[in-house]
Amino acid sequence: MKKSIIIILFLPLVLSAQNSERFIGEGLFSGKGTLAFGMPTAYKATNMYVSGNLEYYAENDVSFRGGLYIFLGTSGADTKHTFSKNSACLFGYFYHLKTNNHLDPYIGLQPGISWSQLKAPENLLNEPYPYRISGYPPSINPLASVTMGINYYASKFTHLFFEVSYVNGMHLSDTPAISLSELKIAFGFGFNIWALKKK
Amino acid sequence: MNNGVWCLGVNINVSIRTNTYSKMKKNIIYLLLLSVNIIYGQETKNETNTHAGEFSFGARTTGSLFSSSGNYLGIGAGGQIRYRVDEKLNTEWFGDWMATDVGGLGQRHDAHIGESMIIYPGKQSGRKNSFTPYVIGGFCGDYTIIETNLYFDAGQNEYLKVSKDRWSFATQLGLGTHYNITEKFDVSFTAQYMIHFGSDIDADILTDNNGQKYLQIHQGKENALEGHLLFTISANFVIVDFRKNK
Repeated sequence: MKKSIIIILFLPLVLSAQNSERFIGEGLFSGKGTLAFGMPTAYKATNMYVSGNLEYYAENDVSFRGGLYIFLGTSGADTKHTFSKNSACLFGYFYHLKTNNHLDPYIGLQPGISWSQLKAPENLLNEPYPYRISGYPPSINPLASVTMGINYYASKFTHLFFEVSYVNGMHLSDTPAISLSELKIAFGFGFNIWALKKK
Repeated sequence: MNNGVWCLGVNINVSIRTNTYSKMKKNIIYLLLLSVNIIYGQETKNETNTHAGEFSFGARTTGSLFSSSGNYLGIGAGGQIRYRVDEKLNTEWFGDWMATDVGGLGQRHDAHIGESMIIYPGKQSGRKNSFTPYVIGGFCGDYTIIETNLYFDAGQNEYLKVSKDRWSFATQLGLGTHYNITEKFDVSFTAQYMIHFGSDIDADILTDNNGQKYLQIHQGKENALEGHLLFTISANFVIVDFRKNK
């Protein structure tokens, strides 16, 4: 009886060990779509984005990804000059650490571009120069970023993820430059299909 | 392959001189003919293990320092393709766009498009989990624009935004290293000094009578040299190996 109980208790471990096979690999095509939050490093605020990306695993450990952060707005800002536009497009490579299960930790480098515009104050006469006479033009500027995160491939077609990105850049227009640097946090749900048959 | 042919030639001469052992000679010739095949097979295997013929695509982030507009750090984004000519020589074709905040008073944008040769002085290169140092140098075409923020011009008694631009050629030289995370995927770190040859353009921070700082842009009619330091980090993946099956 004792032996049977021990065998039953150890059975899940045995089954788990049998299931220890890496899920991701070359030919996997995946995408993510979710809400993301940004915490600027130069001032206190929370930026909100709709974010999405497409990613292709060019080999078992390496993927290429391109994605967008579409700016929705800012809340809780302790600065006068917030953005009306602050969207970004990032592209680059990711390295996926080896695991023997459905978890997929990754780190990536992504340069990119931002499309940003400061929000014009309601009463320009209260503003100091040069903000009083600025046209608040939109501006496109380069970005650099590094991203760390983890996927959990729950099934053949879906996965869950959590990731943190540090994005560095400057909004340059006709007024003093404002930092675009922030920590972006995103988590949620993604889809995946095998573009190539798994080896 | 050449080694194999050379061995065959030498040993046939030896066998002609020792014609009293005709049977042995025959065997030796058979062996040598066979060894040519073996040597040739080994050479072919080595060639397929080289990195020659690899074509890769990369994404890059570049930082720029010490331009004539002041010691401000500019951040850039861009991409590159590489074609490896042989084991010791690679080529890199790149495009970059950098933006620099000049003291909170203006901005400088630099766009580069060019080509660099990469030379590997070391014995081994491109192995997994290893560094491959290199010397890099080349040339590029460049577009630079310096713009002021809105500032009060006392002479004209109004707020102005001034910009000046130029096209130039540049040459660059530096050092770097690949770190191969896998056989096909590397992260590369490069430091280069780039010298531009074109019409002189630079900017100075001045203070007006009211104590307000502003940016003054100078553009000379004559050509001049201007240098800046570039730091690049890039991630590159080999998409195709054009010589793999040869």
